[in-house]
Amino acid sequence: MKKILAILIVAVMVLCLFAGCADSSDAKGSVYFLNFKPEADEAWQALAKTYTEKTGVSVKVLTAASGEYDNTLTAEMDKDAAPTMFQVGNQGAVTTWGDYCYDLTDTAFAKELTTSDFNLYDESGKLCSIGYCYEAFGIIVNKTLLEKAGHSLNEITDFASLQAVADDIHAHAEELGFEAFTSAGLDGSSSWRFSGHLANMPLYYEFRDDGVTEQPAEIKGSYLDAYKSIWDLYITDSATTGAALISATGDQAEAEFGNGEAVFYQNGTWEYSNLTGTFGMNPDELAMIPIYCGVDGEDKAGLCCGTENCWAVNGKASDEDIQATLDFMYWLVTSEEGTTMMAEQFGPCPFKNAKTPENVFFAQANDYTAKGNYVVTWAFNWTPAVDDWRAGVVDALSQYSSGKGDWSLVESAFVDGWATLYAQEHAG
Amino acid sequence: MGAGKSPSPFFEKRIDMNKKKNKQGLNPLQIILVVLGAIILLIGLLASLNVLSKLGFLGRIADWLEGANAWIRAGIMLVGLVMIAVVLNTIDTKNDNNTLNSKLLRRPIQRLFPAFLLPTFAAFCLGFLYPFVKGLFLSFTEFQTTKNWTWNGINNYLTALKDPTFMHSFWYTALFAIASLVIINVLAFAVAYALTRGIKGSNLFRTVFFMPNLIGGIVLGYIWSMIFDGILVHFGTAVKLETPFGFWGLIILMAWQQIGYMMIIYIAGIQAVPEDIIEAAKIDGASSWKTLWHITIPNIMPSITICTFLTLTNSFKLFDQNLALTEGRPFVDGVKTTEMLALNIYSSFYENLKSRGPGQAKAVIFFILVAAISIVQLRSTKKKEVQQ
Repeated sequence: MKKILAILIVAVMVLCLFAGCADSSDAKGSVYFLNFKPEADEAWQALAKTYTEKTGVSVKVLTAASGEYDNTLTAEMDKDAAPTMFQVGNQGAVTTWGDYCYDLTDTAFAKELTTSDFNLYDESGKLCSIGYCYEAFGIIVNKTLLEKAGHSLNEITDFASLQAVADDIHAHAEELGFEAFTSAGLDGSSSWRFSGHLANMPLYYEFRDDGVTEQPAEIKGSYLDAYKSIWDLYITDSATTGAALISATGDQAEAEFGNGEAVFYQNGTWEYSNLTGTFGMNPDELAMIPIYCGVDGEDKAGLCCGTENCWAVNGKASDEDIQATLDFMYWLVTSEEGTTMMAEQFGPCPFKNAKTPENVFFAQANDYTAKGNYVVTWAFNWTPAVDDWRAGVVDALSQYSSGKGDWSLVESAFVDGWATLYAQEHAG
Repeated sequence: MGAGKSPSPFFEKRIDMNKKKNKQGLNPLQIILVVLGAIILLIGLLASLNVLSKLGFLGRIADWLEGANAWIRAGIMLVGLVMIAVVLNTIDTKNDNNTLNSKLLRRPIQRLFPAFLLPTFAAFCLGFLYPFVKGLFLSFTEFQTTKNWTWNGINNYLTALKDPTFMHSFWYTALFAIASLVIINVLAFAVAYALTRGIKGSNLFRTVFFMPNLIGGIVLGYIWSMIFDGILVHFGTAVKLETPFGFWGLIILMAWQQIGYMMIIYIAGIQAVPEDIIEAAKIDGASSWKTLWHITIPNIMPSITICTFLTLTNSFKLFDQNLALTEGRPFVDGVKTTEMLALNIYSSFYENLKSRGPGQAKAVIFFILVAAISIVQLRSTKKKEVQQ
């Protein structure tokens, strides 16, 4: 009796195995996109639904939390149903995920590109990921408040003039009722603006001078004085100073600008919808100027244009899934719904059928280029171990800003940090 | 019945039956089932570790197994385990006249044990045993995702031990563990003692003291960092700026969270001290301090054992609060000065491609460390427990 029962239990378990065997994937393949931008999640879900209704191919879009993309991607790639479409946005990501990227050269999607400036290649020349939009950042200016303070946008042509205007506003902050700069918060939600975007300025100028065309193993920090000048300006001519910067958040800075409490706000074109929507600012009173930091010839600078948003296809997925993903991507950049959504959410996209966005900041970026000003490209895309490097720089900036350390800490985090992290990444 | 009278035939028959049941060998069917179960378990385990195809046996079956749905591999392992368990359970144990071994109770247990045991056992395997074994295996390999690994021997362990940040976080965690052990236990015992004197409102106080324990670690870390920063900003500093602030901030946080929990355990221990011993002490004229030191504390040694074990292991495993309060900052010379062991393992895992193997090795070392410390601590305090 015992033996019969034992055999029966085992048989039931084995039969249950075959229930799990049922293969649910259809021959058409399916798409699984791990999205990088939380702000675009709703639009992606709607678009995925539309595509599935039209073609019957299932599209799953999962959005990683802000700052958690690499962790989420690592975890998802380990699963049986790994993402077929994901973000590989900078050289560090190419080093980490290059093996998983499908070569996108000569795909229908790649042929829709108008420029290859935003593509990322690995050492063997494989096209790992394609930039699907480009963005710009600089210093957003509230023209109305600037004029109230008795200045105009034409005055600001380089660092000296920017400093003069900011100092003046800061000196009269009480009477005017607003400050020069928004809080330069070093909290995780805001620090990337300074450890990433602002740090781009010294990196760009150094790489331009030295003719660097690929990820360098070491940097010299030749323009760190310029970085110091602009950072000092940010933390002096503002309402938030010293140790309070450590807990000042990104939302705080955005609200300060949106509510008319400050004239200058360093951020990018992606802020346009928030500022005009949530805070109801008038597009006419907004402008974006380049980040001046005291470098010769910067009166000819334009905005910092580039992107971290590049799509890669998982080369280790099944052939049907890869084809389904490539078809989906092609549809995104050629169909009515796809191009509209991309123009609304991401701004200008380098594709033949892309729609022009309404964003006022892009018009300005184009103006600068039309005037013959040089574009400041995103040199910081070459940072090794991006998160760790930035964490080191943020910590050094915190210590410097609160008076606990001096600028040499920042220089060390910048230069030595780069060399150490590069060596670790490429060791063995 | 006197001694020497021979047992009745009825008894003789029973003794014979017992003698038969005393045989502990396995019959051939059981041996086959055990071996088969072990083989199936091994195949499932090797397939999950992606080792099966590399060994070269079974050819295409191995490839299919490794590529298939994870539930299939889990099911196979479970089948193997169940086969072994079934056989182990059907071995006839020595009949020592224990009521539990009587047929009346044994049969239903043997019939129904899967229904009761299996869900918990499956959860235990899925949640603990399997990740543990897989982690142990991966610590000897270099890997980016757990499926693509290359054998690396003990290099990961050498790298981990040579890492200065690992050493720093180890000493930092040890210091933190000792400090929090003393502070939490002394304060918890003091509060427990105070709340067992029969003061009015003791129940309310006990509830209030326990409530902080209900808040999760991450939320606690963020709230306390706001509180600390709010105070420290008036002194021109912040909790992430100086290492001592991070250390004492964490201690305050842990004390606030854990004192209530330990207090409950101590209260139970204090209430279990026999009344007559205390009365006898009072009659003999012992002061309350002497009573406390020489009678109460020796009698609550079991509670002290448990509380020190819990505080010690909690301090070593601390992660959420560390991440939320300081993230390991401030950084001095590339070392995260307030980073504890668990956070160090986590950051080294995500540092870069090459660091996943050493990160896993660190995790194994961490496990051995905590296990060793706990065993030593448990043994030494168990020895001091007093028989009541």
